[in-house]
Amino acid sequence: MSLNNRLAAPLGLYIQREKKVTFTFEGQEYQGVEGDTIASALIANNQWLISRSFKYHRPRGPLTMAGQDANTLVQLKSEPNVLADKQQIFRDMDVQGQNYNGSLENDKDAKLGLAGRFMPVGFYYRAFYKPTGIWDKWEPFIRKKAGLGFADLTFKPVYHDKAYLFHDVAVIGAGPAGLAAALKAADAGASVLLVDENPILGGALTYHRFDIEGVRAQALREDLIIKALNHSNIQILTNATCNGWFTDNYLPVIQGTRMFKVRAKQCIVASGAFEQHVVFRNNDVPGVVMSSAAMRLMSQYAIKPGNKAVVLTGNDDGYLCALELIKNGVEVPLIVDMRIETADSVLHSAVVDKGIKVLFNSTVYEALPSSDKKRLSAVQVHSITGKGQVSAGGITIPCDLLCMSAGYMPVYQLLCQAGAKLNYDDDSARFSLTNLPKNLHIAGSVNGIHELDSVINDGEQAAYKSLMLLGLSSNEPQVASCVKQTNFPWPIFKHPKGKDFVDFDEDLQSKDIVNATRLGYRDVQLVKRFSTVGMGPSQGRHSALPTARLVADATNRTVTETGVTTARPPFVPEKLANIAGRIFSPHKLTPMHQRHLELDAHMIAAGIWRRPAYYGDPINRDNLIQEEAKMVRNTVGIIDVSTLGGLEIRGPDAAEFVNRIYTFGFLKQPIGKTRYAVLTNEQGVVVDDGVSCRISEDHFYITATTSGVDAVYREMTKWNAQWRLSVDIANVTSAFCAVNVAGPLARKVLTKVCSDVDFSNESFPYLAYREGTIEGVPVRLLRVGFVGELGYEIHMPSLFGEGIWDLLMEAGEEFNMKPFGVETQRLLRLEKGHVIVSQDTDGMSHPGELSLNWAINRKKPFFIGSRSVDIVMARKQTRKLVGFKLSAESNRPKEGHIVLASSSQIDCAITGNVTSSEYSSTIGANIGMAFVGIDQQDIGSTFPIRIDNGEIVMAEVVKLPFYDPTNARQEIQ
Amino acid sequence: MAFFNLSAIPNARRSMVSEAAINLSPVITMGDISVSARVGFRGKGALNFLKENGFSAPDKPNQAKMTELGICILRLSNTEFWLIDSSNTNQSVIESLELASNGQDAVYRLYCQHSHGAFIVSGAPIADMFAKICAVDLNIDSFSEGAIAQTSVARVNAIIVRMEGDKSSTFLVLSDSATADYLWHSLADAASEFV
Repeated sequence: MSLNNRLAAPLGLYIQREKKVTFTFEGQEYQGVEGDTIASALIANNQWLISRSFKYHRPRGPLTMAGQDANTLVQLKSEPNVLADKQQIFRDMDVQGQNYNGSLENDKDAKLGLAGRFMPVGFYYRAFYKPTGIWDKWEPFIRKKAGLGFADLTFKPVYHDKAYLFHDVAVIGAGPAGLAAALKAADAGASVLLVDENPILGGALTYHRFDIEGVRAQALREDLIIKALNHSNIQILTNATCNGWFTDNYLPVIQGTRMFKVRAKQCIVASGAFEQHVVFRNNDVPGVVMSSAAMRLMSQYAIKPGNKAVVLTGNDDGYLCALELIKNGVEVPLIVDMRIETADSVLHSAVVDKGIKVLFNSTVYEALPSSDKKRLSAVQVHSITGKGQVSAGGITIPCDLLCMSAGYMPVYQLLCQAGAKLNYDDDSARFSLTNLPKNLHIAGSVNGIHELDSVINDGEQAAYKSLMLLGLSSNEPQVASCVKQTNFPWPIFKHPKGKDFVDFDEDLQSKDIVNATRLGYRDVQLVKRFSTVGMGPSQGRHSALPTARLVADATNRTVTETGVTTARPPFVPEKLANIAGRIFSPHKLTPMHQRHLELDAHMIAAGIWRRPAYYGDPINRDNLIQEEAKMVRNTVGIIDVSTLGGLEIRGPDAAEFVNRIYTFGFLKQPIGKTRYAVLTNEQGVVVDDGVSCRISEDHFYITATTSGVDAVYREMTKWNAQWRLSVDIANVTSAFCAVNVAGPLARKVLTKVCSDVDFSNESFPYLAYREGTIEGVPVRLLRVGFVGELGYEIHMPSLFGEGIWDLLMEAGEEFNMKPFGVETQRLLRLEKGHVIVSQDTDGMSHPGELSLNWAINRKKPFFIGSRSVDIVMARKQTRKLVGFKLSAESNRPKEGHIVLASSSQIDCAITGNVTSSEYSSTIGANIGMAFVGIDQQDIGSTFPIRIDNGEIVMAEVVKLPFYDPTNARQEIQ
Repeated sequence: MAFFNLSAIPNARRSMVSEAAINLSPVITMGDISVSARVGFRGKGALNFLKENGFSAPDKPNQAKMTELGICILRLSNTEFWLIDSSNTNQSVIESLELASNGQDAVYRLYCQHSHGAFIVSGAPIADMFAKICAVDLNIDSFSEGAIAQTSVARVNAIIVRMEGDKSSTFLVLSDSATADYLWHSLADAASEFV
């Protein structure tokens, strides 16, 4: 299709008419120009039907041309519910209408409108559930009909991100008030952010006619914009929406795929006002638009919006709209003025001079659609006989465009989010906003100021207030005032046949609102929830005021008493991608990470760390783990244990501090020795464990669990803030990396690389601590037995980690040493019966349940949780962590499977759960640990575990450890 | 036990950043100086210890100053100081200082040589770039030369220093060595839009 109703330049502020853009709508090719929205390009091609309404599937076309209504929701290939009057076209864009059954032109569900009387507001609360079971029949149908558009499940996420912006003053809205405010603030030296949702600055100056001659807006806009664009103190964001206000002027501003998180010392909201519609029958027929929408089409997109227009107005702005229409070749036979008389006689004369007839005290009572229902063909005009009442009869005026201007409602959403109160004067039908928080200001039509000079003045006044609070000097401007009457007090004309829409989003008619009050929902908040008014995409921009008026009238209250519903962020629908932004997933890598990848490690997450689970293809998991375990048991293996937490306690009170933190006794821990360290919290629960190494009288190096070290460090610093002991506490987890060389041949490997340490049993016994060097690198050596074999943990400064790993791997080559992963380590320590805190413990596990009584020093006066430990261990115990065994052929329980009190009683109590479980080729059985009832702990007894599919397996309680109970493996020479 | 010298054998240090010197942006340059010499001290005696060894620390916390040798002294709290040899030409000075701290009362040598990765990030739009990943206003008006921010960058803890002198658009960034690789790529990603 070709362009056929474009107006000549200079109209068309948003478009570049020489740059053609071809796109498809409903499978048909259309041509627009660069800068066109989907809606403007379609209207340029005389395609007014763009979408179907939510409930009755009525034909809908643009209403505001400002992205402030749901009449133009369309489907793009990968995105539903796109605002056609906001989304710009691009080459080969594929657009579809949505919410129809069949085609947009022939929607089979349009007949739902005929059944409207059977679907009153709230009918779904009272239908579908009786008789019992009927819901199951209704549900598939409702699910099919519900929702708008389709999600493209093959869609690949687009890069979105966030960025902070810091300014002295943020000005929201770049209309005349916002521009004036920004310039005044910037001139005084403030750093200003100017935000506007449109592609170019100017707000109403880009489309509204402010004077009879129609010259003022353009001249003023060009002047203000040049100043703003060239001002070094102003940062401008266009096509950007401030979507909320949060405490201390924290403002999320969305521009395309980026969300700016604005921090502004002062905020000026110059968000303007939404033009309001008139409620009459068929006020949703395509071709019935706001006056401002028609003006936008002409000025911004150079589109002649119709051939023959009627203007329905309650203020002088409708007259200015009529003049603009006439100027652009639209026939305007009639202005229907709801008022008794015009406020401006000069303006009245101007339209009469253009041959436009004016009917006062009249309204459009019904819009008449064309035979195919898809475009306006005429309006029925009646005299107004009283509040919402019209005369019988009336006249029919053929037209294809009706421009409505019932008044304006301030764009109050951000302000009310900030706690402002919206007030309405029932006598003057004027709004005001009060109770603004400190550092937040308003200017322009949102402040009830509509005359252009006053608007400019008001912007400067807001800037002045901001500057004073910033401590910047500036001249005080004149206080703005405005007497212009813009709102007609009762633009609601209920029709006996209905379809007089209050809320276009939800297809709510005036009777729906009134009926809600008759059902007892007198509060506007309840009316909202019962009727869903204001809950659609436009969030009550046009329905809030008529709803408040109808509820007030029906409940014999004023609009002020009735109020409007709460405004919450976001201001416009925002994508989850905007909220998520660029997804940051911090993760920690050990210095040997690249080596693990080279060795084909299967990496898994261990808290924030990435660790090798085992080395090889996950498809061979079980075999790989068993092979790695066999290697450690028979020869030697190496594991990267850099993720272990590391804490340094230094200072004269170091021993006293460690003694207070951990359960064991540490005051007399010998230098050069390690000691098992259990940490309980104030409730007596075991929350971490590790190994304490005493390096000197006043120096301890203590390990902690991978996931627990940060919490342990916090606890330590918190406690010492009270104790004031003379110690320095350092979290050195990342400063040191570590490996554990374990297996009968471990000593041979270590001896090759570390010549300054005697690794013999006599000189370096089990649980000893030594220091040495490997190729000049200082290392800490801990003789440990976590996996149940001769083993040495080598802790070294992290930047040396990769090099030392290479040296060890080379040294171990002759012994066929290979790395093993954390899954293998878990099996090996399970065989040895070692508990992993947080895996084999939970938020209730006290030392008694874990058989850690030996690690509690009851002679010392205090350790964290000591009193609670005494209390909980003195109580009758209810459960116990035990080792269990099942035959190799048995189905293996998984970690988390529950332990039952009885195998035969289905509804018996749950007494515990499996905490660790694995097949052990060393033992030749499935082994594990589990919490069991206290009466299920006897060695040799069996207890039931419910595994997958409800199967019950009987596990035998065995004495821990499963492997090497005499610790003979530590004596290997 | 002998003093555990963290400054030992500098040539054996290996950075944990997997890809060095990614130039995704022609106006932002990034350099990995993780293996350059540095040392930290904490404790009530740390300030005097530095003075006695000829180092004049900044007067207040969260300030940095450059010595004539080109060593940047960071004062991270009243009693915590890090010395960063960003040009890596003062290894012996750093090592001597570390050894001198052995046995000093109320002076605790810190492990920043190995606990932290270190980057130098430069370029005119550096504050805008960091605004994508850090909530602190790092514009020159709010974050002047020598200022330090101990904050979160791309969700990991980091220390940001605006370097002094003619490198006023240069930041020194220190962060956990275990997340250095992650942070390096996050910074590179943030820089990529600046052309």
